[in-house]
Amino acid sequence: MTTVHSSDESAARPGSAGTLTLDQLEVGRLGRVLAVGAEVGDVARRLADRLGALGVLPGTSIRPLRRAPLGDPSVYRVCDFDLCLRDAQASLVTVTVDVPGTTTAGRAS
Amino acid sequence: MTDSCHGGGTTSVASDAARVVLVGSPNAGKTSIFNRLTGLNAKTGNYPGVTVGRSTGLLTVDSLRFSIEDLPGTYGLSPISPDEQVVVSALSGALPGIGSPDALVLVVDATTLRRSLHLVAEVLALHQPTLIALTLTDELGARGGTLDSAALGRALGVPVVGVIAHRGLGIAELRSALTSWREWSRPVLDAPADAAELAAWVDSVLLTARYRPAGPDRRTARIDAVLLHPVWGTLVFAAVMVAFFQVIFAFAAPLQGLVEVLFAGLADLVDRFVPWPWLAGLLGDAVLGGVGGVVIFLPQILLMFLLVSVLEGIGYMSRAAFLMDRVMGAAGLEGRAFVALLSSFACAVPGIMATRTLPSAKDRIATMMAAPLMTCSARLPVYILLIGLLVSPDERFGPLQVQGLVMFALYLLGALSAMVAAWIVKAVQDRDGLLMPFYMEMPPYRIPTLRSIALSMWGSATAFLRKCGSIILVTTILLWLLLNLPLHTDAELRAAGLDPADDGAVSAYVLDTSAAGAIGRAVEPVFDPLGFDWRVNVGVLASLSARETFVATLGQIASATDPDNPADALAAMTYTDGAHEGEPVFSAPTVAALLVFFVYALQCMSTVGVMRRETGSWRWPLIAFGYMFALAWLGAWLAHGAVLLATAAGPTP
Repeated sequence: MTTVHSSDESAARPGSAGTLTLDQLEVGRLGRVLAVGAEVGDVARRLADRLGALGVLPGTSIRPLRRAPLGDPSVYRVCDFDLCLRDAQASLVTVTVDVPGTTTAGRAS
Repeated sequence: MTDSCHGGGTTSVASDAARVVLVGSPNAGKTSIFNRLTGLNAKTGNYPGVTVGRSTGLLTVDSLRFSIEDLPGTYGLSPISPDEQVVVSALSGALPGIGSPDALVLVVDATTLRRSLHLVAEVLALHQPTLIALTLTDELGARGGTLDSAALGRALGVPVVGVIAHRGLGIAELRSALTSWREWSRPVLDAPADAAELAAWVDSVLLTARYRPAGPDRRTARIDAVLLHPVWGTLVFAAVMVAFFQVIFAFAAPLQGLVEVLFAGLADLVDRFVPWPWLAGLLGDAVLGGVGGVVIFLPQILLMFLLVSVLEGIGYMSRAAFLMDRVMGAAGLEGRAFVALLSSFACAVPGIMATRTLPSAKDRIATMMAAPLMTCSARLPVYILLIGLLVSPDERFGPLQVQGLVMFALYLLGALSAMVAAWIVKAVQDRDGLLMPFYMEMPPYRIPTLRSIALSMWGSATAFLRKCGSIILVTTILLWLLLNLPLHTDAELRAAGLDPADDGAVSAYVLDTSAAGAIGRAVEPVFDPLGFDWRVNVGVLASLSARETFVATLGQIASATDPDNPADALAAMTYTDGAHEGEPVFSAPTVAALLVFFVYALQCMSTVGVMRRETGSWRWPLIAFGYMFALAWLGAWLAHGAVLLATAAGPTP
């Protein structure tokens, strides 16, 4: 697993403290994109590029708005628009949960 | 008007026109601008060698001619699908037979400017004359955002024209800006390629353009809270789809009835006023029948594109896709394929045309290959006739009528087979490893304009008539000739021991001695394992123009007194020669085989024609016809064998 567009290699690994993949981010919670990673290869790199072209870039804020009735796909608000992604693609994105003070929408409690 | 001097003589040849292509993301308003610029002069076709639709049109401004082309929507120029490859190839002039563009109009949605600037950077790096058409500035303002479009133009170094296409605002400015495309300003520097520097460039452009992003669309959020709700959203979706199906299936029927009455009336006139019976037959049955067979599709096509363009224009299509994505994902498709497959329950022709709404060429192909397996309304009369021969209406399974259960099983078999077929076609195509990721923009809810709906209906109807009409017409005429030639004089009929006044006997004799009859006998070895007599083969052959023809043709063969309701005559029909002489033709194994055959076989030249039109080549329709025939034969053979075994084991009726 290599990461593309990574600003900080060590923080970008899902599983390290405070980071998770986008598909695991709770609905309503604001996350910040750390890295858009993919397996090695030309196709995988293009997928990562495409997510970037859709506005999913390191440093961008992203918030899951809702999940489909069957759990997949989900709608995310990113870059001022609503983007629908399947979990398969969302899992390529590593995010960190923004500190509680910065979330504006109600957290699922 | 000095602009019109350069460019040499502007004669009326399209190749002399400057080629302007529209580039932009999906939902940016590209197609609305294209429609505004070209109006009814637009033509749809395909890019060479790929299943990607191409829209071109002509525009004349101050005697300067432009050829406008609406490229498929794309978010970036590193392609991950055949559609996006087309955009990249078209921009570099790499498409065979299509030159490189002279100028680009880059359509940018002001409400998603931050994201769109990545595409802007890529397009400007092509160093072609580029103008930015900035759309949805009204929506940006309504949602509390601001943007100085003149400053944006200065920051990017290219002309910017604000366009609100659905109200026609800015179109005149865009038109006149096109005339000076050779003098458009060009950026001094390229945008940086490095990701971090690009992000800084985006920030600086947005700052210079005094951009304040639009707030969330509250109306959309409120509607989504209901329409995407796990319970309410699913209920609304089911209701919308039931209504959708109801309109295509039921509302189209009276209109189609009108078309039938009209053409029957015309055929009647021909019959009355043309003195030679063979010419009357050719004109009345073959030609008028063929034209009627084309026109009969128009009500369904127009109604479906009315609904599809309304749902698409409102923004509900992507919501429906969101709700159905998981289900369609099981077949390797995405949510948006649902509507196309649902429409195919009414008729595969509008269903296949609806695949245009799918953004991925692979999904379009897979859906098209699957659509004809959905039980269309033309199969219904065939099923009703055959089920009537197989099971008595009195037979019950518990409280349920067995006839209804068989019908339901046939629908289920068709739908499940369609899903499997789509999955296989998708898997075969995905061998190239280019797995198109699923992503979909959920646009804010908008009110579609009557103009865009009307253009969508007009475009689909004219494309169908132009590209499929001839195929259906030729098939109908050819089949009529096969079924009616050679001609017989009254003397010949009397010599054969027939009374020329006995219409039923004569038409049975004509069919018996026809070219189709000879073909039916010639292919007997192929269909014999399925239990098909040569007369059944003729019926199957005749049904190539439309499945429901099977019923009338069998009626004609059996010289039934009422050819449209031939059940009794068919039940009494026996083999006249060969090993099975004296046995009934429509035995239970044969009827079961025929039912399964009709589930699978692509007995519909209109479907073949529309596949040809939508894919731009004969390759896919031939594949579809081939694989469906193989499935039909195999399935029918299995059904024949299974019922034979079951009836041999059980008590014989």
